[in-house]
Amino acid sequence: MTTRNGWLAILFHTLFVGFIVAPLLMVVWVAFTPEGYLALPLTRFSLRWFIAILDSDFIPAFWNSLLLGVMSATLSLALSVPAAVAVVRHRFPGRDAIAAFFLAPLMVPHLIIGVSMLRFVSVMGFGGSWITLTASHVLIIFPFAFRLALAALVGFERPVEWAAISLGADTRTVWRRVTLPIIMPGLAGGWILAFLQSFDELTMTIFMATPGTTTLPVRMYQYLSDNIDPLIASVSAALIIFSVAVMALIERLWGLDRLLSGKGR
Amino acid sequence: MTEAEGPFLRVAGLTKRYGEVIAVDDLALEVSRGEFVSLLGPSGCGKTTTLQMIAGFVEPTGGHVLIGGRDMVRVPPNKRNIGIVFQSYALFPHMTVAENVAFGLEMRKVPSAERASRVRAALEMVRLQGLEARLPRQLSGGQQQRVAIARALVVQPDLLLLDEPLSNLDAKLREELRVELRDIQRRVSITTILVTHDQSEALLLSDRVAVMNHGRLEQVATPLDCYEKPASAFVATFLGRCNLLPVARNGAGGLQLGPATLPVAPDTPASGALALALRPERISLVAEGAGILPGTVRAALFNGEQWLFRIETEAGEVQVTRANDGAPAAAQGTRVGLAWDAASARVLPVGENGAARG
Amino acid sequence: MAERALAVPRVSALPYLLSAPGLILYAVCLVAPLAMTALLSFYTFTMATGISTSMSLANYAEILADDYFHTIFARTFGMALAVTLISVLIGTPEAWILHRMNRRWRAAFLLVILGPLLIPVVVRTLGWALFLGRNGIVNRTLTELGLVTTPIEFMYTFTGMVVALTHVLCPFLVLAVWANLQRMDPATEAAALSLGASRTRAVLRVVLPQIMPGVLSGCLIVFTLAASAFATPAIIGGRRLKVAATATYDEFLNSQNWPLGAAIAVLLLVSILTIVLVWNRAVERRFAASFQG
Ligand SMILES: Nc1ncnc2c1ncn2[C@@H]1O[C@H](COP(=O)(O)OP(=O)(O)OP(=O)(O)O)[C@@H](O)[C@H]1O
Ligand SMILES: [Mg+2]
Repeated sequence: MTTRNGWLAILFHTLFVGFIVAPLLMVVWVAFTPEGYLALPLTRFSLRWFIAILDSDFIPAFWNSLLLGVMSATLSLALSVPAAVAVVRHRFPGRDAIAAFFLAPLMVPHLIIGVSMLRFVSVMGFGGSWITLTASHVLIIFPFAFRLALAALVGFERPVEWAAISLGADTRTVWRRVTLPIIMPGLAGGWILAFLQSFDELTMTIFMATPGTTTLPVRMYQYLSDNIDPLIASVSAALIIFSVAVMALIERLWGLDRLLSGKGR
Repeated sequence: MTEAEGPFLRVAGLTKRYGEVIAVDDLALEVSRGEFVSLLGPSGCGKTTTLQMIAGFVEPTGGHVLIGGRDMVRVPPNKRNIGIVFQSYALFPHMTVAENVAFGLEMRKVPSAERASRVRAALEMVRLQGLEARLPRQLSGGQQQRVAIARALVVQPDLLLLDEPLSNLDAKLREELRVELRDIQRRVSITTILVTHDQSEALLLSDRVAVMNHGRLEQVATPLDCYEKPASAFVATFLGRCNLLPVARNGAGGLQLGPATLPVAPDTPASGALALALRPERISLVAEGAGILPGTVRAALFNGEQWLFRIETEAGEVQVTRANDGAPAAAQGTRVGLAWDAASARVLPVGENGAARG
Repeated sequence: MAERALAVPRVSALPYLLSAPGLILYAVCLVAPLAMTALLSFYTFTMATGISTSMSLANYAEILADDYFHTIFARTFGMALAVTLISVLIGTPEAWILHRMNRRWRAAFLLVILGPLLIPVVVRTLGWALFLGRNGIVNRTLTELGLVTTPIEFMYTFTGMVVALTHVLCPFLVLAVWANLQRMDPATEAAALSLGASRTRAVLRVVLPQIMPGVLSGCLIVFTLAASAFATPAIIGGRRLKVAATATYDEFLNSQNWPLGAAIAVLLLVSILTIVLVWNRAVERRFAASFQG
């Protein structure tokens, strides 16, 4: 049913979209300035600030973020799929409590998790390390991966597995040849979402990052606290462009709204 | 599989409880090699549960399943060599038609050359040549069903289980595939159990029909016997249309049906509530005063092939059908007599289940 | 044949084994650290001696007594409330407008509005700093046009934080309402219209009640995220306008007074959880049947 929106609605919509998009466009626009200070380029555009990124310490931070994101998304999926299998495929005492518990980090602010991990690490004497940083990232993205794994498994038709079993497949073969390939698109969606959550995370990471494990958002925040210059704008612009590419991919493969509201496929 | 004496599939005392619910209750069934048996019953009577216990996907609460004389209790479902066609077909959505059909052969480590030729033969049998490279979602419902049948048959299973394989299809396709299914089954002469709640499907296809109600088997017999000699009021009413008229033994050693007295047949149950089962097409309308039971025509309904009369008698309402021969029917309000052959009537015990459907 | 019991209903260990890795992670990285932090909030801290493990309620007493902290908490929840209200007021109509667009436009604008959720918060906040900062385009234009002589202060203001944070969080509300609208049977609105309701009445009486669960859960998401937001208040509010999150950060990483920081964090967590609980309770009572996250 498409009823046409009235002119008032269209005006409102235009303002709303402007509100959402304007600051982002601003960042991209400023990033193309040829000047050495923040200015809106009107006649002359330059890529000098994008080139400047290459020599900055944002590059190692980017690699850190990428590595951290890949590791924690993969680990969170590896842990959440078995948990989702338990919850979807088995009836056992404590099942509902466990399912609710796995979603709990959604309710605990990242700030609190960051503070707690900082305390935990100092009490245990671990120091800041990749292991603790990764573990904490796995924790905060676990609920997203778990929710999408649940969605993928709930939509799965059991008789398809039974058909494979009746044809002689053993449990491992059924998983490898039938179940996994079928739920893979849903799991991949979970992985992407988990990766982005990790890649963008600042509030918790800022408590845990050490000079060797500084992630991109942390580095950007630190940089921003000192000064705002065209370099940070060009880094941001690059990230916006990167995000738009990822977004296009997600929209093609899963539908952005479905993935974000945890529906998988 | 050892060739054993006696029935090929034997199910004894098979029971499944889900907490308080008894889904399948002490079920016994014997199926001989090559036979086609239908498991027929209303929704929720335990058909699927029975099938899945035979296949090994549901663990029985009690009882045995023997295939070729071998107890299946400790045989896992992937070692039972049973072909199954699920109601939803359960095709592997990420594999092509050919890969779907080849899957079971792959599991059996059939060499690839032989595998290819057997897949080709199986697809030819279900007349799906040329669709090998399609994915299941690119097929129509009927084609998907045939892939499911080919996939189940290509491994040459000892037993074929079909769980309402035709229920998703439209009426025309269903009729076509029924015939096809029967042909294929005859050609490979494989022992088959078909689950259905469609009585005409069961009568049309099977060597024997097993009628199920509330987790129990009510009757296992040939289609003709089930129809002509129903073992219970439930079977009589579930298969086709049937009048159930309350009768009682009278002091004179006869059966009282309203004002009429009938002789007691030798197989009449000795005690309990009884009903006379009479098929509407076996009753003829005769002149008032003649026949066994007098009545008044309350309605005469016409559907082209048949007339359906609803006749009020002292024993209750009786339905009578008569093939349309072009002549106008007895008018509403006419007093008539009802007559039937003693051989067409059966006296059955009425349980609380059967009476509800009269 | 005698019936033989084959399966005694028994509890299998498998589901527990499958969830064990996740549970261990949660125990180590969530439960233990939270417990330690709660404990930490009762410890004492002095500049000279650092953290001592003598237990007291001193940190909580300090927060509850000090006007400085009152202001911080009032600002935190004031900001969260304002962000939530504005988000509902603009996000709900926007979701509705999206819902009524034709397929093409809808898909495109859904991307434009939800897409920013994939962009790091730091980047999105930077946009506002560039837009509305002292030298930002708005102030520059206004000054050049001669409309203002001194730049309008946006950075380091409450308004600035609310606007930027609304920008960051409003898409969550649109998403929640949108997901709810998709579940709604479009025929109900048509039915209301066919029964003679005016368009406005149809929306108010038929559509709004149906999307209320989405609106309410969206509110909750926005509120909890706003109350604990760090990056945006830190960048826009800076040192001058502290909220609970930035205050915690300062206590931990600048003043090194961990116990006090922990107490702020615990209070923030407890208040947020209380609000979530009360809210859910109230919502469940009203929408017992239809409410699902
Ligand atoms: N997993 C289960 N837990 C509890 N009860 C069940 C379960 N599976 C089946 N039942 C119950 O057992 C009974 C038989 O179910 P079954 O699926 O075998 O019926 P059916 O004859 O196949 O019905 P239909 O024709 O509708 O498919 C039903 O009352 C059903 O509710
Ligand atoms: Mg069934």
